[in-house]
Amino acid sequence: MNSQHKNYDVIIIGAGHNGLVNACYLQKAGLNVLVLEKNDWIGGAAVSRELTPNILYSNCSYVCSLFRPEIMRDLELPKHGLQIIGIEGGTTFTQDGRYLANYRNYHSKRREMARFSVKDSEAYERYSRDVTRQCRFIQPLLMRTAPDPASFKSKDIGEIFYLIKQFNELSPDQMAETIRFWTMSISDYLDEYFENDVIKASLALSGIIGTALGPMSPGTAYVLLHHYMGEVDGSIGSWGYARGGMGAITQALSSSFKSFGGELITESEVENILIKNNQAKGVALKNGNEFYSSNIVSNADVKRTFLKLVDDKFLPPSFVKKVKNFKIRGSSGKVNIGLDSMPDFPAVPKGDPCIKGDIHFTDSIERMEKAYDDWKNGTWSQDPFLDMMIPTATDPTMAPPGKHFMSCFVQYCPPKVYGKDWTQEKKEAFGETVIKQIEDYSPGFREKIIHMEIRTPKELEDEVGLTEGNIFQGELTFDQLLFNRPVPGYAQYRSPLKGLYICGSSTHPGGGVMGAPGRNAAIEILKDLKKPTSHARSAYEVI
Amino acid sequence: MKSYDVIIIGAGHNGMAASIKLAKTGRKVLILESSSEFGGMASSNILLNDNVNQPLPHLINHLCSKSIKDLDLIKYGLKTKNFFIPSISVDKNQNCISFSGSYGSQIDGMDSNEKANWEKLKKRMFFQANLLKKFLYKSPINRENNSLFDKLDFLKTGINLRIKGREEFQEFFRMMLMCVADILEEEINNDLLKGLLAFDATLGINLGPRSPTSYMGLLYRLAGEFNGAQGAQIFPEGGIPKLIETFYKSSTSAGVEFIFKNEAKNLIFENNKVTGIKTQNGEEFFADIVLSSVSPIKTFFDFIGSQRLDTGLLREIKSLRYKGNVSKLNLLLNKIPKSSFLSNEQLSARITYTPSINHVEKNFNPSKYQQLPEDPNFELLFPSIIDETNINNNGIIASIIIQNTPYSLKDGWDSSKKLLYNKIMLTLETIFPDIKKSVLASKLISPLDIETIFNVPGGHWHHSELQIDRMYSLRPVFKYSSYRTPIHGLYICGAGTHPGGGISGKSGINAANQIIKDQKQNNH
Repeated sequence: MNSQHKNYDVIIIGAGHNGLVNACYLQKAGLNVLVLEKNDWIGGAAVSRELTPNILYSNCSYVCSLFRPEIMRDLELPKHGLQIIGIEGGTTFTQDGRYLANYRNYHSKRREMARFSVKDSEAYERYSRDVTRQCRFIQPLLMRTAPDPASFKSKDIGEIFYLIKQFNELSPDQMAETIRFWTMSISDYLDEYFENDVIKASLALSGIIGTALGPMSPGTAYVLLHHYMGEVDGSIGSWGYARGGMGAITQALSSSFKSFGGELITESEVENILIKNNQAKGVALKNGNEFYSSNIVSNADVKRTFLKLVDDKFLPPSFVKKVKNFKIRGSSGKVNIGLDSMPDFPAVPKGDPCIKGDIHFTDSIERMEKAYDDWKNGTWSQDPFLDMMIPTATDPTMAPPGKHFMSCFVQYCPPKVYGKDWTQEKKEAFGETVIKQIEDYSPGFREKIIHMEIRTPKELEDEVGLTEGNIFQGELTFDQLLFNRPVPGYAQYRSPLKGLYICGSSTHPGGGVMGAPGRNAAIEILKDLKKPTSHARSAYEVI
Repeated sequence: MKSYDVIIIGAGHNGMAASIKLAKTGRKVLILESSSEFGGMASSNILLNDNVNQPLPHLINHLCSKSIKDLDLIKYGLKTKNFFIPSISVDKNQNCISFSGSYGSQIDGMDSNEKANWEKLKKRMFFQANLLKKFLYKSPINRENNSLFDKLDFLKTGINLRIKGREEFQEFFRMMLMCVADILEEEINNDLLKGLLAFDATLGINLGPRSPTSYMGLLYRLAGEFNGAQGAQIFPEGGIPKLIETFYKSSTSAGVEFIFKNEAKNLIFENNKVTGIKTQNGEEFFADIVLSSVSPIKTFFDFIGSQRLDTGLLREIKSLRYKGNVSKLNLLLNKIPKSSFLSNEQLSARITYTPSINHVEKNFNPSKYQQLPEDPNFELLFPSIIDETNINNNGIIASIIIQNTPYSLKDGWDSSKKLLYNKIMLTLETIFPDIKKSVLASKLISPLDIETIFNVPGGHWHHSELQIDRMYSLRPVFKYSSYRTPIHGLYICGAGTHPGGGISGKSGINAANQIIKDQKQNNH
């Protein structure tokens, strides 16, 4: 069958995890869906790639927590091979040779904190209660399409009332707390509970992962929440490894998609979305092929979609301006390393599970903020903040016995250096900054390196298509969240053109390997096409 | 027995404003002030030499016509000629733009395209500031003040916003929590203009222009009006000393009694009720109502005391960010300085060293680590050039407010003052090449000095940070944002309460109204 001429019900651009989730829900509803992927591998930024013989790298995203359990069940992902192993703990190393472990077990966590400050270990109970309360408020909103507060349509007014009702269920004190939480920096927020610098730093780190903000910037308390909202096996706030690397998630999605009858073609980069009479008509590929459908869903970020794939003569100028103003800022780099043997971290007693989790080198929020100042100045952080993991210490399927893959996520790394393009030399200097830091804490580290991949935002953009390499497809600040994401008035997965939708992290509820944008977009599309949505179950009750 | 209806702690302008309102109802009011001056942080406590003083503030943005009327300030001498002191934003290379009229309705130094973009942005900002203005001046809504009437204000505002159209409505919710840098960069190219606005948004606040929520600082400034003119920047005739004097004259005329050099030390309690004050000299004064206009840190820790506060509240007050970051440099010059590029007429403006957003942001960075900025941003005014009635034979005063100079310096203020002074001088010399030679006297006042001289913990302009998480119903804390405290009969006002610092008198007026309202209710 010549697939070029077959008319599809929906064509999805990009086989990233949101595009695949979207595809699954649509195909499961009985639609004929085609997914087009530009690379010869699928997964977007949720991939496992064998970059050196026999070792699998989760070379973009590297850890899993936010993926919605409801989606996992709806699409039967465990049946298609997805298995997530919970992480027992992580650790923070300080410059004076100490370490602060962070165990998943609540009591171990507090005991460990007490080594640094007994007062803080007691305050942790209040802190975790208060943050969990914020989670409880936000979580139901993740799997609901954001309302349009300017609209008078009954569904929007209904959703606004739902939000107001949610807010009203809080006591006045809790309302005040919530407003404060959304407008504070994680640094100021932590100051209200803790006194020890190392403890504060270890809690602040998820407030800056992937963002172009420092821990002292207002709004980072929310970013922390965003990272806290996931769960592994019911343990809220926990993180885990996908067995086989992050690619296992997208492989399972792809397998699920195909099991419902879906079609996926790789090496098919879309160059242009075909529009006629203000309506989507199909796509034209770089290689000259064309596919037709009156429903096109783009998994690319909002800038790439509307500034590259659609001719701007078809879009209202005010919309284009707003898309241009949407902030997508590259702030992270990645160094992926293949190792000959497990690195030594002499500060930690042998056998402690904490080095199998997320590893950091930081002493204080000040140190993290200084790293951010360097980025603002236009260069990579001279003393970067690293979020490192060695998944192979837990998952034996990614490398031969004894060999390891280490993922180093780096804050901060700019898309250009002092306004100029990255060169090979600068890239290597950046990589060296990272290795040097690791060496300080792990003697002999350098000698264990078999292979290294240094990724600045440029590589992430070139390879995966993420504008400026921003992992969230857009900053997570309030002006770009909920009904503002990606653009006020177009925060419900639709665009100004009929039949053209977006389903990536540029939409609500934002980034991380969550799947919620893809799912929510699918529901809106199914509503427009008057198809059933009952197979997409709503969010579980939060306890 | 010295007995009154109300005793007010602190003769700052808010304390005086409250006293005027209360005395006019026939109440017997006493103000206890620890120093020898009235005016609080706006008092003339800073002498350059024996005869010359220049207070910390030099301009007003927030004295609204209703307050002026309420406090009879015109009757007691308030005069203003020129509503809008222009601002001139300069860099070190003799470039400048001049920003005058109602917050930049006239701009010199920018092309017409840019001017049009600015007009558009300004219109939107003024509209948003106007919406919020109502909340700026009223008592905040909270658990106690949440009548239907109060809630209606929100609904009205929402309606006023929506009827302006979809675009305006959406932009409001998008822009509200943004950083001022992003907002400016969306519309404007001119660096000097952006630098000026970035400075205006963050002066007195511990945020940089790239910090989210910093836009609110600009809205706060624009929500101020003087006699109906929005975004006004006023130099009152006779300067700030004369303005503060009108508060004093109005209070004394209303029958308020002042006692100076008598610091309030402890409250006198009977069960959970306040019955009076014991001062430093051991004297006792009695009243059923005590209104403290000093910093909430002082009120809650020193006057109420931790044994009378529950743990949660104590923790909240402890976490108030009370360390200031603004310094003042007053210079006495032997003649009007000659500028290499500004005309004599332009010296009657507020001159700001604000070359660009990045410049202001770069100077904000070190303050996060308790260090001085490399090349500090400041605003400069020559009070005696602006106001000829204010000339004295001792010389020309240069009044300079410096941003991002933190209260706690890692190197300590003693060794850093000279460094800061030199940095400012270096910049001034690029505008006025001969200024150094004409300096007769100088006084550099750090936040640490402000703490000592004015008895304000942290030396903070606003008593505690004026950021969204501590504004309106959350100021100073959610439970006590309507001027009341956990102690029966004890009230608070001043910069540490809504609507924050700056010379407006609103906090004093609102607190007085709360006292009157509460007493009326208790009598029923």
